[in-house]
Order: sequence, then C-alpha cells, then structure tokens
Amino acid sequence: MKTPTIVLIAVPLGLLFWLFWRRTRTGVDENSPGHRPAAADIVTDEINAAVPDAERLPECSPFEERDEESARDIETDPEKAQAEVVQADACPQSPRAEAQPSGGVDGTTKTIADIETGPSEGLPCTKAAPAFLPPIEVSGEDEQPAAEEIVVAGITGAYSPVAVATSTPGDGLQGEPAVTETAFAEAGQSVGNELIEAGAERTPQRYRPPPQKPPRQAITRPVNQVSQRAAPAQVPLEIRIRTTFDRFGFCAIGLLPERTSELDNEVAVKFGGRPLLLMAQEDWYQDLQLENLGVHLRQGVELRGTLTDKRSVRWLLTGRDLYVLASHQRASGFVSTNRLALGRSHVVLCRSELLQQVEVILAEAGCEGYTTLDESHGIPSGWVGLRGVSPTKAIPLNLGSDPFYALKPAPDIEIDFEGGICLRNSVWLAGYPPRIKLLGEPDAAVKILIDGEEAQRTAEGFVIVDGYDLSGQHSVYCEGLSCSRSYSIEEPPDSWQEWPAYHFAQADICGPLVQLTPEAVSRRAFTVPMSNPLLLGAEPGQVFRCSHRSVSLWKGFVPFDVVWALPAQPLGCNKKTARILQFSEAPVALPQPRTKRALGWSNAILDASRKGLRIENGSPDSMARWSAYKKAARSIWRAAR
Amino acid sequence: MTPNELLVWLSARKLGSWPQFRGAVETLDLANATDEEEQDTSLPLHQRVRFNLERLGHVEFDAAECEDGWHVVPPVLALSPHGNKVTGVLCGARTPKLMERVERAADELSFECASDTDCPDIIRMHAPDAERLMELARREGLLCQSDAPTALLSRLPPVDTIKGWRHEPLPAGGKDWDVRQFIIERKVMKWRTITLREANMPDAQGLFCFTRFQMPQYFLREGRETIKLPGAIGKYRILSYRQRRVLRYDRQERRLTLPAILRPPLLTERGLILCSGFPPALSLVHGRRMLTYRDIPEEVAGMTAEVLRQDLL
Repeated sequence: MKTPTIVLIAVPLGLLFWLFWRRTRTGVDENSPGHRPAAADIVTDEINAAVPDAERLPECSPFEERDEESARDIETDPEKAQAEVVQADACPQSPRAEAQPSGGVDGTTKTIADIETGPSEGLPCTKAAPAFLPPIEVSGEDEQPAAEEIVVAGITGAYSPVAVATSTPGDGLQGEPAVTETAFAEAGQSVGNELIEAGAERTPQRYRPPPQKPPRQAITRPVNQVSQRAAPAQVPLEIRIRTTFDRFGFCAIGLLPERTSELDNEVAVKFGGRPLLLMAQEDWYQDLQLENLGVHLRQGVELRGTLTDKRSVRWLLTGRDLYVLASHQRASGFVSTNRLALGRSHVVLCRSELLQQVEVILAEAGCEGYTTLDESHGIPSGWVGLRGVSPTKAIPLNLGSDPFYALKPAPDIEIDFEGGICLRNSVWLAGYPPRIKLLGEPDAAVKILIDGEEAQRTAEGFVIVDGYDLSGQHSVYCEGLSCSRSYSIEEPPDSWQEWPAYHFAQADICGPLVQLTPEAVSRRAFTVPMSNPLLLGAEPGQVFRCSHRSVSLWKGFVPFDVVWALPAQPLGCNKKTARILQFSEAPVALPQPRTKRALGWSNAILDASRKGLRIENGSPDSMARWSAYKKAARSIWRAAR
Repeated sequence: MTPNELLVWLSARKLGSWPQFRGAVETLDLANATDEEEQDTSLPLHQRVRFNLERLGHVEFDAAECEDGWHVVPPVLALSPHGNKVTGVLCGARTPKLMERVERAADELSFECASDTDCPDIIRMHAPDAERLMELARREGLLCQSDAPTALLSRLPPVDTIKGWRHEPLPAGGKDWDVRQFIIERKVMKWRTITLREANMPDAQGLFCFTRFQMPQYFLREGRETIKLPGAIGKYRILSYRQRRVLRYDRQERRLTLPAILRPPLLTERGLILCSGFPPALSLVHGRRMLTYRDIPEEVAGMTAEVLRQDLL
C-alpha cells in the first residue's frame, strides 16, 4: 500500500514541478530581445494584459506613404493579414484601425491601406484596450522593411501622410523628411498617460519630430510594377495654426483645416461633442477660433465628418509644445510650418517652460531682434510667442528624434516666390509678378539664373533679371545645384460679358447696368414737381399718374413723351397756386380713339380747363397749343356721350 | 493682397466659386485695415468685402448664372447727374492697363481716386454734361449707364410685392437652430431670441430669422402664408404695415440716413451708393448705429422711399 501511495503523491508532484519549470523557461524566452511574437501572442496579450507593448509590434518606419497596392499585397499574405486583423480588432472602440504606411525613404513606397473594422467585428476588447494609441514605431538597425513586410501601426493611430524628403547634401542625414503638420505621434512614452476609458472622448496624438537616420540603400520599384490606387475610404487632412496681427500688434490665433478641391464646400463636423460647419475657402476651410486654445495646441485637435459621397474625413492637429509659423502663399498672416527656414521671418509659439531652451537655439541660429509676446498680446495662457524670428545660420539635427527639430533650420537652398498676384498654382498676373528670393545658405559663388541669364540681387534681397516679369514661361535655377523652379506670367483678359444677373419686369440688371426690354428702351427718365403728378402725352390715352412720394420732385420713367403736367385733382385744386406745366411743343395727335384711357386723358384736360388753371410761364404759343388739346378733348368727350 | 488687388484678381479670373473668393480674401493685407470702429465689425472680413464689392456694382454674388459663386461685372461708367454736373463712377472689372487708360483719358476731366474701408478704390470722374463722359466710355471700351441710380431704382419692385418670393414653411425641427424674431416696440427695433416651438406657434406672425452654421434664413409669416425672402425686404415690409418711418432725408446736405439694422436691400442700396460712389458712413446717433448715404438727389431719395414703402422724415 505504501508504494502505490508514494507513487500517487510523487507523480503529481513531479508533474507540477515540470510544469512550473516549463513555465519559468517560457517567460525567460519571451523576455529575450530577439523574440518576435506571433499574432496569436499579441491577441492574448492585448486581451489579458490590455497593455500595449511597442516592442512586440513589427518594425515600421514613419516616413512612408499610403499605398493601396501594398494593402492588396498584404491581403494575399495570410500571415500578415492575420496580424493586421488582430491589431484592428484589438480596439473596437475605434471606428477604424489604420495601418501605418511603410516603405522606403528613398522613394520606394510600400504602404498599406486603412483597415476597416466595425465595432461588431473581431474579438471583444477590454476597456483598457487603447482606443487612441498612437502609431508605434520601432526603430532599429534593421528597420528597413522588406518589400513584403507587413507594417501595422498603432491600433487607432492617426494616419499621417508624410512627404518623403530629398536628401540634403552635407548634413550627413539621408532622407530628412518634410513632415506635414499631422505628423506622427509620440510612441511608447506617452502611451501610459493617454490611456483613457473606453467611450471617453479621444485625445489626438502628440507630435513627434521626425527621427534622423543614417543613410540607407535605396530600393527601387520594378519598372513594370504599376501602382493602382483605389479611392481611400477616409480622407485624412491636416489642421494648421494661423496667426494674424492687427495694427496694434495684438494677435489672433485660429485653426485652419486643410481643404482639397474634391472636398465639399461645407462639411459638418463634431468637435468636443459640438457640431461645427466647416465653410470652404479655396485651399482651407474657414479658420476656427476655439476656447482654451492653449490646451488644444498642446493636446491636439481632431475633427471628423462625412462627405456627401459617404467618405469619412478627418482633420488632425497633433499636439505639441512648439510651433513654427511662416508666411504662406495662400493665406494671410503666419501659418504653421515644419521648420524654420533661413532668411524668412517667422513666429514661434512655445510653452512658457520651454522658452529658455528655445531662445538658446534661436541664438545659435543667429536670430536677433525678435519680440516676445504674451497673454496681453493675445497669446494663449501658458504659451509664449516670438515674432520676427529670422534665422541666419543652419543648425545640424541630432540623430534620432530631435525635440527641437522645428527650430533648427536646414542649410538647404530654396527658391521662394513672394507677393504679386498669383492667379493659380504657379501662374502670376502680368503687372503683379512674384518677387524671387533665395532662402537657405547659398554659397556666394552660386549663380542664380532666370531664363538662362544671370540674375542680379536687389537691395531687398530679391533676384531679378530683365524681362522676368514679362508674359510667358520663366524658369529660375541655381547653377550647379539641383534647385530650380518655374513660373509663368499671364496677361489679364480685356473683355468681359454682361449678363442678366437680376431680371425684373422690364429690365435686366448687371452691376450698375440696367438693360431695358425693347418695349421699354425708348423711355427716358422724367422729372416733375410733385405738385403736378398727372402727366399727359400728345396722343389721347397717354395718361400717367406719378406715385406719391414725400419729396418736392418726382423722377421716373414715363412710357411716353410728356407734354402737360397737371395737378393731381385739377377740379379740386387751388386755382390761385396750381398751374399747368408744359414740357413739350408736340401737337395733339390724331386719330382720337374712344377708349377708357382716351376718356381719362380728355377729362383731365377738360377739368383743368373748367377750373380755369393757368399755364406756368404761358406764352401765346402755349395758350394756342392748350386750346388745340382742349378741342381734341372735347370732341372725345362728345363722342363718348 | 489689398482690396484693389483682389478686384484685379477677380477680374482676371472673371468668375468663380465662393470658396475661391474666400481663399482670395484670406490673402488680404489686414494690416492696412482702417479703424475698426468705422467698420461693420459684426461681419467677418470676407463678408464685408463681398458686400462692398456687390453694393458698389463690381461683382455679382450668387445671382443668375453665378449661383453659389461670383461673376465680375464688365467695366461700366455709371453716370449720376448732380445739378449742373454729372459724376461718373467706375464699376466692374479692373486691370492695371485699363486703369492707366481711363486715368489718362480722364485727364481733361476732373478725375478722383479715393480709398475706403474694405473696398477697392473709388474712382470718379466729373464733367459738366453726360455726353463727355459717355464719349470717354466709348473711347476706352467701357460700358456706360446714364442716370444709373434712377435707372436702377425705377425698375425695382416695391418691398410689398409678394410676387417672386417662395412660399416655404418655417423649419419645424432639427438641432442647432438659432431662432430670432424681428420686433418693433415703440422706438426700438431689434431681434429677439425665441425658441423653435414659439416660432412655429399657430399665432406667431412677423419676420423670423433661422440661423444654423452662421447662415441666416428669413421667413415672413403673414396670416397663414409663410414666405422665404431676404431679411432686408422682410423688415421693410413689416415697417410698411406698421407705418413706421425710418428714412431721414436732409435736403440741404443731400444725405439719406437710416438705422444700421435697417440697411436697404442690395439693389436698392446699390442705387443709393451709385449717386456718390461711396458706401454709407457708419455713425452713432443717440447710441444707435446709423448709416448715411451722401450726395443723394431728392428725387432719388423719393424713389428709394417708394421702393421701400416709406415716407421720408
């Protein structure tokens, strides 16, 4: 009996010990640096722990464009498709999970499209599953993804179109990105802070400066590979900051939602549960003035709406502590931009606590003479504005993510067109050409050529050449540098058509023009004292009664040439003061029709005659003319009896 | 871009959409704006500029053939007789070359270029008779409208003409409506905020303004009929029924003054502005904002009163 008892106790104990040992080993393996979990691992972790772990996600680069073609590629790869679905399903609170684009910095773009997931799809999600997790980036030595690699960004991270920058010779950095305002959010470090309960309003991601990376090899797309893009289900757009100053130096800061030509003129959006209607301009929607702007600048703003074609649209301003604003071709004031540019005047907005660090960098960039703005100048609480920031020296960027990226101007040479009247794109109106300026750190020996001729620099720093403002196509380029730009000058039209903008009974109106209908065209404006509003023409039946006006003179159009003007009631007027006014020598016309109007014409003349009214400044000729009219009136009256 | 340049831009483009106009106004140089107290600050800049361009007869907005957009009027010399002289106001499209030509041609006449708030320069020419100005217009390829204020005002239907306005019920539901009713209490005329339900009560009568997303719509309820019409026309209809007189004409100064809340309908106001070429001046009289139109001949004041169904004070 003892032996079976011992066996019965030892076997389960051994089994338990083995299980415990095995479990410990598994934990060690999982924590090892090279471990990459399968999709199923991620699911388990998302559900059980509900804590995201950036390092467990596949690597991705933030400098990629979105490309539907890549999305299809991914769908054909079951393993990777599964990974996407897992990520998307991990957060049903979000209407859609978006894939972070992937691809090469050097122009080879491989991206994946949005992953549409409805709340009813996929696995149930725990409350803590982050509805707003930012896109997660894992950088490493081997982060260059293979062409077929899946890239899945943050679970609900903002899709951010990022322009791929050209390499900058001399700065030691390859592929310095021209990041749009909706740049990538900070990964990892802010995740814990931004976890909110499901159902709560989402906070847009914070801005993360683009990391600087060492050069990497270009991957070229095969020539025969044709890109087939489908219309994206969601239109991602950016929100910029705009500052305008009044003549007292007080500034107004607004948010400027971006607009593209295919978007509706009006889009209803929600912000903080409040409905807003975005009203279109050409390149923007009407700027928004928000309360607590300081908080929004720091935390970011997200607007969502639906277009008439049922596509959803989202505008995003990623929150940040530092903004750089510069003049913009298509908006007045200063509009937020990526980075300070040499030779250009900027406004810098930063959190008060960053001011000291900001000023050190600005001093390094050679910025002098700028003014500091505070709340009394309209700057939001907790923020400071610096106006007139004009850097003169380039500053190299730190490797990795440089938090002061925006304050460090690049040495790049850029041809800038300022002012003039831009008709569209790069077409300027004749007489209002652009002023051409070279930004950056140009070598003194750099030759600037306009239409092949060496340009001269003006005292204001602009470059000109004879004929640069004449009609036609023009090109500007810097000799020896891959820096060029073109523009054209167009003559204005010299003819415009009138059209019936407003139509009334007898006239069309266009501006001050009044185009009369053929039957009314012969009429002329007529002025008569209000004492004599009864107007008679030479033909029996030509009677017109002026409308009552509380003025001494009546003016208007009468449908015939007026010969006589009588008091309103010839029989009832005061004969001592009332007079007959003569305006024409026209003889009475024949024949004399027996119409009601002719009888009215006849009665007016006979009434004035019976009353014995005198003709104003009556000459013998006038008296004779009046007698002839009386005779005609009497014959009409007799005929009507 | 200044308002002058904006008009040049609009002239070069000839016609376009409202968003294009909004975009162009965005690049206006605000630093040159004059004293804000002189402006109708209740309106945003793009609306102030739009209304001025429209009132001055430079550009038509949302009219026939430019619905939801704008269309530049061809260059026109709008003549207005003033006693023993005639004034010509240059309206419509402008280009630098055209301006040069006109200025050169008007050298022998009295040429005047004045600036005003939120509108392009006001260009006027004076001559002893209309013929000389008409000849100038012919020579320089401008259209010419003789006696423009009279021609315009005499063609406008009075405000109580119901024909042409659409019968449309008041909005009865929906969120975010800001509803106001135009009321006249003794000497006070103002908009009073009411609820959607109050506006839709069976006995509610008068002029109502329904605003959503900053876009007002005006409805006039008279008996059982409800018509949708421009707010200015609705106000003057109500004033007409109530026999309230608001137009004050100064014969000596030839000025027409009225409360700013009762700005005349667009084309009526255009007729008044074409007398001088200048938009009305805004002033405060006994705490009330008043608009004053200058150089208004008595007969034009009378025509205006007739269109608005008013008697002059």
